[in-house]
Amino acid sequence: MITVPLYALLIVYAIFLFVFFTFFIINFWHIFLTGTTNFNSFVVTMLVIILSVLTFYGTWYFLRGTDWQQPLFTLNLSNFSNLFQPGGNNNEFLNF
Amino acid sequence: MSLSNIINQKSYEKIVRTCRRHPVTFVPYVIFSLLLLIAPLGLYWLVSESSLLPYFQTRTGWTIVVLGGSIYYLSCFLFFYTHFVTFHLDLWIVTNDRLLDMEQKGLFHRTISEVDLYQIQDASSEVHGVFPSIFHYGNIILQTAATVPKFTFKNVSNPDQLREEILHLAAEDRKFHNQHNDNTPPTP
Repeated sequence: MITVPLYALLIVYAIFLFVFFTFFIINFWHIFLTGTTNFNSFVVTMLVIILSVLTFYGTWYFLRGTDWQQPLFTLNLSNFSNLFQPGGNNNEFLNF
Repeated sequence: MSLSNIINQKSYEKIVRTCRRHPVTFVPYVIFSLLLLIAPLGLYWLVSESSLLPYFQTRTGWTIVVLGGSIYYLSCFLFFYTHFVTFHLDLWIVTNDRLLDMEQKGLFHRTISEVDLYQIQDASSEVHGVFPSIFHYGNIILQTAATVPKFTFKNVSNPDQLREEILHLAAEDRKFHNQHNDNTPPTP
């Protein structure tokens, strides 16, 4: 029996954030490196930053009371071992 | 670093004009991004009508929805920003010596081509369509004697005015090259 806690989702989210920030910096660096900064690029960059910050704040606000230790799902490994045996119970691998 | 470094600006060379596609051509991306932003409302309606709703009302379901929504919206912002950068860096540079086409085809794909002004043989501009006619943007097609036979400015503002400006600069450059009949650089 393996219990996957809810904070596993945070790990996935952290990986996404790493990709997000990497691409954001690459985009910003492209503008900065080519010396093409102007009013439009400033406005769009600020818009994206403000919207991203609002999204982070919203995410934190809606999840601030979450108990991250509670189980996300339980993986019942004993059912895997019975998978190829006749009469084995193969209906409940995941218990949400 | 600046634009001068990227185009290896020569000492005698000065940038006369930089052109981008007309801002109106970016509007479809803005509309598409807005549609992406409101799409979760439709998904919410679908879920609220389905039997999945009780699951999403649990603490676990709610956490998945919030984190999933956060990932979705951040991806939308990144999508918009990446397209803006591609649009922003897709530009044409007119100097007193040459024309440069910096084409940003993707985040990691840039092509820079150039042609000397004196090699321009013919220039034509076209404004084709309803929106180009309303907002005064279009293409300039330049025939050259260089290795790049055709040089196109796509969807630039006031193409007629720009074509005349390029032809004037080309005539000046050609005059200089005819006078000197060598490859010494023109004085600004």
